[in-house]
Amino acid sequence: MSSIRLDRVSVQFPLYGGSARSLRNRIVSSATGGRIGSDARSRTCIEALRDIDIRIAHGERVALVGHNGAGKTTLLRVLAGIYVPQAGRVAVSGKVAPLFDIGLGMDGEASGYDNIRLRGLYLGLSRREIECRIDEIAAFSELGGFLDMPIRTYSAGMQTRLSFAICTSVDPEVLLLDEGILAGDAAFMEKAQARLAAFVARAGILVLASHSDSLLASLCSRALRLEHGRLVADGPLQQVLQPSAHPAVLGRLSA
Amino acid sequence: MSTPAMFVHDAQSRDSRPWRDAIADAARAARLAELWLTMGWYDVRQRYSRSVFGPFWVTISLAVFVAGLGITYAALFRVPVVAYLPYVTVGMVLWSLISALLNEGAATFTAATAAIKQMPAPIGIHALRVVWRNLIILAHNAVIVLIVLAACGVRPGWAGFAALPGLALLLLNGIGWSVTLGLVGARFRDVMPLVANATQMLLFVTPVLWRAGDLGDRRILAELNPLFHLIEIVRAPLLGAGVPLGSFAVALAVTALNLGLAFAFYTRLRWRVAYWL
Repeated sequence: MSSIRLDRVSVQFPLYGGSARSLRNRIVSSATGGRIGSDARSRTCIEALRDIDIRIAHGERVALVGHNGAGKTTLLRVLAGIYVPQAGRVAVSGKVAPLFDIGLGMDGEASGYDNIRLRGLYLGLSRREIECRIDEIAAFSELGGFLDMPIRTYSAGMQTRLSFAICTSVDPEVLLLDEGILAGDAAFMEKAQARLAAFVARAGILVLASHSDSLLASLCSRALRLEHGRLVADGPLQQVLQPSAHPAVLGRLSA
Repeated sequence: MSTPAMFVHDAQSRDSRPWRDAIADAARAARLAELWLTMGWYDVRQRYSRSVFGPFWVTISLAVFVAGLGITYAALFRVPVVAYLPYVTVGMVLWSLISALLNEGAATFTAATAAIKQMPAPIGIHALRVVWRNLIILAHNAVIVLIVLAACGVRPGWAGFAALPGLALLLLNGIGWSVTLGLVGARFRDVMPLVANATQMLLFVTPVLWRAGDLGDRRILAELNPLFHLIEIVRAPLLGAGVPLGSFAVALAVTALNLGLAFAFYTRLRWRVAYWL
């Protein structure tokens, strides 16, 4: 059984400016006896997530909504185990398949086939398991001869097709998708949604960050709204998507 | 199973037993051998994709360099070419390995940004990938060594295999450099040019083009240089001079220190890398 549990999770990004990031500043500041030192130490931090408490149970399909920069992608990366939070506790059980930032693929210079292999290895498949699935993945992506080309030559939609095909072929227990992932053309969208629906039917957890209400409505039942790194709403999808559930309104009501 | 079916990140437990987690993480990285072996292999292949000679370009340029140097410097040092050429060939092949390990080591994690930010995996795999990829390059360069040794009549025989433990130590140091320099390099972007500068200078102060004995009564300048010992434990057996036990002992100590430092860095800083990239 897969499950996700976050207790008071906070994530901050240190913001290193062009100068604060260099070794020179550290050395110069220590040599001049701390005069600039206080400057160099007082780092600007961006608080990406603050005190997030979430429980997600087996079989739930959760939408992640919020403005750009609200912390959706950061939260997905925390759930994937990529960002280790500075405070709080994250516990995820179940095999996780994250799918974000498809723009880069795993390696832009490698061919489509090689990217399938790399991503498959990352997802915990052995080389043999990958070779067994590679034809199915290639067929689903419909990329044909392009799979022999470096993926930097792919369009965004083509990269989406490839990454999506790989990630959904491993039978993950927790699938994390970021917005833009389903940016393929209409025909592919239909196929992708069918595949996602089949995945969701096999249960496991789906967390999907998106700005498309219609997409969320077709796949998710519950929604979490993030605002400036805080979880401001958690409930049935339709309720959270309603404008009345907007945090500014909630804030006024509670004040 | 490489992706754990479960993970827990707890800010509190991280502080209470940091190095036990680091050992588990490093072990998990080592077990992902299929992944880093594949990545390293693709690295080499891609670097030379669309070139006719592929990785042999490194070999060719090294061969040209060694040939020119061997002839000129043999005259400069007034030694016969057949005596100097094997020495400088083995030295330069090893030096190009060391220099690549240091320079690419400083970029271990910055070069893997896309992968680190997309997929969860112990970041140690990238250090192993750097070392493995340079071992593949070394295998290509070994061709020059074989040709030069044969041409100059140096026949180390079975004793030449005594170079292998030395090479293993050198590669362990490569893992240490990749972790330490890679972590510091991910945080401070000046590390890469700094290392590039340092390696350039180190070539001239390390007995690669000249012999430690040439220093005469100032031989200590070579003896104090850890890189000299790391090179010597591979070079001496290949040139039929047997295993230099003194150098081997120093190399062992250097390796232990290097790996200890790398482990301390890995314990403290590994989880921060995703934030720095």
